[in-house]
Amino acid sequence: MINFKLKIFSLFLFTNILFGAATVKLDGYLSQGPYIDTLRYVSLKVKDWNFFKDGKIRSVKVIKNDDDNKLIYKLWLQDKPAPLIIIIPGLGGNYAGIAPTALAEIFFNKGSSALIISNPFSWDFLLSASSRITPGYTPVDALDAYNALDIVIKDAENKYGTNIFPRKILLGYSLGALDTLFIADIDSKEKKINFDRFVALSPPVNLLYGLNQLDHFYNIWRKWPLEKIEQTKNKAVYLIENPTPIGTNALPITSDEAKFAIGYTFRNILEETIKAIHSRKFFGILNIPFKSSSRQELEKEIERISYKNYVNTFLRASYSDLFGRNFSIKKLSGNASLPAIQITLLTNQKIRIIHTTDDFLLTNYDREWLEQVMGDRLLFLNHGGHLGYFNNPTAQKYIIKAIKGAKFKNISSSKNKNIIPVSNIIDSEKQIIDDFNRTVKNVDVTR
Amino acid sequence: MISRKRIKNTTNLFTSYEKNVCALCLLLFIATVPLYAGKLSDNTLSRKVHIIPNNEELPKNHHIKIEKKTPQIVIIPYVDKENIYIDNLPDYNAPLLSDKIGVSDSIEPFNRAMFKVDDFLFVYLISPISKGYNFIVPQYFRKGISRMDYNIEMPKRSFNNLLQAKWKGAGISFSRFLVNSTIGLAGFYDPAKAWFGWEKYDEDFGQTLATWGVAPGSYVYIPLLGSYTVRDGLASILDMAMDPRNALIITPVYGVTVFMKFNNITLKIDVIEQLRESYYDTYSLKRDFWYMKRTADIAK
Repeated sequence: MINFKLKIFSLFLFTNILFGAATVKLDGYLSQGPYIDTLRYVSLKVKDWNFFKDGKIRSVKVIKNDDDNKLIYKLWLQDKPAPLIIIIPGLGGNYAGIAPTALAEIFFNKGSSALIISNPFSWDFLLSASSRITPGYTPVDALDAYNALDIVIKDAENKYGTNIFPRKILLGYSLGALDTLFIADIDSKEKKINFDRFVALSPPVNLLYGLNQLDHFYNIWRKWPLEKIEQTKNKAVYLIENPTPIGTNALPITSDEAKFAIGYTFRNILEETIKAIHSRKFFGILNIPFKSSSRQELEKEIERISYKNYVNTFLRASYSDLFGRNFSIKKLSGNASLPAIQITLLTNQKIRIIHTTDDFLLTNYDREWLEQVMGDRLLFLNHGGHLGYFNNPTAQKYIIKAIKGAKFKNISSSKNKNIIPVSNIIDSEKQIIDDFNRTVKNVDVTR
Repeated sequence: MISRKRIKNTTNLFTSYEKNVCALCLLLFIATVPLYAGKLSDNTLSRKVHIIPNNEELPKNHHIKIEKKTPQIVIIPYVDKENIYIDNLPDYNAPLLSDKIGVSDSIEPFNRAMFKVDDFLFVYLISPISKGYNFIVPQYFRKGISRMDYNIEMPKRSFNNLLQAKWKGAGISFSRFLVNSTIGLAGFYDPAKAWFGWEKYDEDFGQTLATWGVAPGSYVYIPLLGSYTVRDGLASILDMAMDPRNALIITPVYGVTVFMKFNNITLKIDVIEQLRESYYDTYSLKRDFWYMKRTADIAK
């Protein structure tokens, strides 16, 4: 009996050491902490502007009864059949963004075709492909994106040939990564597209926690005198105009200033999104109507809405028909976060996740949880904050490896102390899945 | 009898030191039994855990019964320790950032109308001509022309550096002009920066007025010319007066000036198109970012 227990214990230990998530050191990366490192995201630029111009821009009709708003996507095709890497950018990111185009350029130069669609939480996606106009509830956002991708891929194949994409890989970053993982869940059930690989770069685990962090960062300015706000703004302008090339030079900014710059950027995205929602549908939340000639007063009203307010007002209003009027934000957040699809994450061998050890969108518990769920399909980079590693060659090398399906073994060990083996899916898990399926069934792409 | 002897012999095998060590180990083991018991009950028998996240309809503690057979699936509990689910609404009394660092846009309907005109001109005139021009003229040449245009505007920069008591800026601007006009072939090249490391010190009358305390006034958008505040718009008339090309009141020189300004736009055409595609309200974005950059330039 004792021998048997020893064997079991050794097996666990051996498994942890062998299949634990890996941590990789970024070569030549001068880290200044997660917040400043995050700003290095803007240093990822398109190397050749001709690449930006060479992308084929096409549009497809996704919403059945809407001929005016078509979803635009951008495609770079190799001359011969090649794997297709589809990129979903982060919160607010669209098909013409610099960072997704720069990623597409890297993949294209490695021999793949590349395609970018806008994130479901972007103004152009919500106007042209969102079933509910109000993005932010991941199960529905992901389903909208999945339906849109199905149409987009068919459109590309009809136009350029059915055999041009021998493999299809979906890669998303930040909120796009969360969408990618939910799409993996949908794809395993619906099997319409049958992706060969899902690569998620820095997905938030708990969506509301991530959004709450962004609100905190933005609100930092409230404690500052005007001079400090001006000074930070001037520094941000300088950094936008002079991005450091590969993250080897120290950025002249403090952590608090970096937090504010991050919060301010994301708040602008939210304002754009709310403006687009308000232009299309009146939810009774904003007092000032949308006008094409004058919007400054409306912009001021929108400026008061934080991410948390947005979830509590627009999302609540939009989803009350599905969940009833009294559903809580906790329920909404629970269904929209990664633990809701944990069985897919545990079992789907097509999934790879790359994260950093210091991403502020994750709690320590999130990191531990992710490590336990993903094991050797998860790679941690030692620095970079949130997406601040994109321009680092080591990180790029591992992103390519993840796309090719490599597993990341034997660099660090995880501790599976919270793992509880059970023989069947437990009731509450079933309830979550039922909840998700009910949501999905109720989504109609006819607005 | 034999067995008793054996037992006796066995007990004699240990020295008193070894017996003490064994006793100590036994004590340690007994002391740690509760810890082991806790661990074992956690991992193999049963425990109370939060299963998956955040759904208040679920029981907070879920009792899991484990079968002794081989496990088929592993559930990892997700415990959300952050108390972030308190519902809240926007605070309508909180100060706004745009009131502190934003620009007043009191003639917004006019500006938006002008922006639409500009957008129309960009899409149907500037962009197609630029693309044709860019196709014919290499970027190397276009950048050279742009540097020449910048070089000619030296008097404006030097004079405004002086007006703001930026002596170093005035000196370097003048020196750059001398070097680039001669060695740099009328400014087509920039040896002042490449060889001597002399950076640009951009100053104009709008910045001078700002440092003298003149308020910016409302934002104004003018087709083909772009963003201004009332202060900067009026000051730009003085800037034009300082342009040596405008001293020669002859049509060909105006033609050269217009050509050089057009050439500058062609260098930015891709970025402008990228911005037009990326943002829902390009006008707001352009206004806010322009003003951020403008105030940053004034603060330099």
